[in-house]
Amino acid sequence: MRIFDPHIHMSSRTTDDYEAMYASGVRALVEPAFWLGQPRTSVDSFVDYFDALVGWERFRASQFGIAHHCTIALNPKEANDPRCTPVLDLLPRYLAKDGVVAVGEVGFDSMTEDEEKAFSRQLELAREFALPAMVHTPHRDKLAGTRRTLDLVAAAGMEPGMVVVDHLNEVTVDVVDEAGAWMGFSIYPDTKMDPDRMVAILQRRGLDRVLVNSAADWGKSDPLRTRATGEAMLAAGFTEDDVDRVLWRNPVEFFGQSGRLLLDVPTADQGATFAGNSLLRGERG
Amino acid sequence: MSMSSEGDRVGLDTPPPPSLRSGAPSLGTPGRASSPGGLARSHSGSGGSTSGSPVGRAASASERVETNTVVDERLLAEWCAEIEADPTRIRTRFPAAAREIGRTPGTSPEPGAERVEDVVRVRLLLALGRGLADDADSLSTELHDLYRFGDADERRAVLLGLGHLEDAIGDRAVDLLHDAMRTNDPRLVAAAMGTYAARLDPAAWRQGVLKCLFIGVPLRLVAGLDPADDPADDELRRMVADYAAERRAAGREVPADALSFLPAPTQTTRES
Ligand SMILES: [Zn+2]
Repeated sequence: MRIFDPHIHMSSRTTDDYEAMYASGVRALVEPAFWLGQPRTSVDSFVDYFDALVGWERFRASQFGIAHHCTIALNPKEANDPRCTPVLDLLPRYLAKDGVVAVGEVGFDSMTEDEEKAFSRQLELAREFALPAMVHTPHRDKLAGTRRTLDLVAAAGMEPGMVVVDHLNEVTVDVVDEAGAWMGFSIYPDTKMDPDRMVAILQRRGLDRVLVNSAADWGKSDPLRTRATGEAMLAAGFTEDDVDRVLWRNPVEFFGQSGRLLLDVPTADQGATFAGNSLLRGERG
Repeated sequence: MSMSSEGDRVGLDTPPPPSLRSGAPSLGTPGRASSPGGLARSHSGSGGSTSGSPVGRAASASERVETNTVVDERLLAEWCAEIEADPTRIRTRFPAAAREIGRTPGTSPEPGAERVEDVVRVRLLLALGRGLADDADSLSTELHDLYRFGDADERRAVLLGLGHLEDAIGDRAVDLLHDAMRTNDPRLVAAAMGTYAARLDPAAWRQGVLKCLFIGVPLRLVAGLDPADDPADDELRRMVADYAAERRAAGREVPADALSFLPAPTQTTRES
């Protein structure tokens, strides 16, 4: 089973996770820029964070045979802090880079005016740089927030096929489906979605435009939930090819629209070379 | 390997950059771009050879997942001319250079691997140097910004370019070497220890060499370091000997690089 996790925050994960992910079939991932759990107070913190996403984290992943990509954006939470919003002017520097496969995560947190302004501006940037957009749905007031999200996407003149709306559930999936956008599902312990509910959604509406991710971050989460979903699909009678479509070909198709994927990482047999490499033995404290 | 079939078409007839010295990759050795067993193969040039590997199949599934193993010399010349005429153009050309002009497939964690995009970007930096020939401060500022806002690949190219722009910038970019050596990315540390590193003060340079040993950067990548030929730097020799002793005390192997640096008598002393 080859897996492309289209949404996972590796900066908050350990090398053990990289190892376990590789062992369970993960060969590529996208790390969306987001909140750090603790609010940033200056633009410089963003710059350092973006640097890590296009530098150190990509390197760390490459040591484990995993192709690391990222998305870049000002997230909705921090769009409300005037100390952070000037980062919008720096985004073009990053949106021009290889491996930056979308603008994201953008969207709503508390549905404020400032959030809407930052959201719209970043949809413009996505069009300007011919990049897809990764939009997350708010934790609160989900359905209304999702509707407003789709309105803004339409108003910005974005092709729905260039947009993924993430963290969907049974309540929000249909409105996104009808709009023609891609549907992201985060298989995240206790909240959001679990493998069996995911399988039920796939049985009901098919495999088109569906992305399944672990959304693993610094919270109680599990980077192997993508694999668990693949296994749940097989157990429910889906074929290997169906699983490959959802867990690999769909994300490649969606993010491939950026023209910036870096999928030519070392292949499985070459992974052995990595394991024997002294670089992996921890000298890099 | 990935580039061998297409290597002949890389625009090698065009004059190489004036001073691509050892340590900087050259377009003249396309076949060496992939290190043995390390790098992925190109899916664009050799789709058949990767079938069966999960990643290879995936890559060919999407036409837009492409890398330009062949350098687009015409476009490169065009961009160089553009940058020479308007140096600010490098700000958008430099990050896009790999996908637009040429790139060695794969993201290799290996230091010192010769990569097409490095050579391409160094050529853009040389054009920048010509465009700002009379203005060393502006050249330095532009280099600092490319580094500051660069990803790891762009930063590596800036570091590799410093040795070629040395006459123009003097000591102005030594701080970039310090920044690179604070990272734990062996590709950046290796690039920082090129010819421009001669401008580091001796203590910092020795720390750089030691860091190379620690993080697995082969010492052959350190410019101007020839263990056999350089009996003068006793301080560095002492540091490496202490490092070797510490490894032995911990029951760990001493890297061959460190051993080769120590004179035979020192090794015997330490082991007895
Ligand atoms: Zn997230």
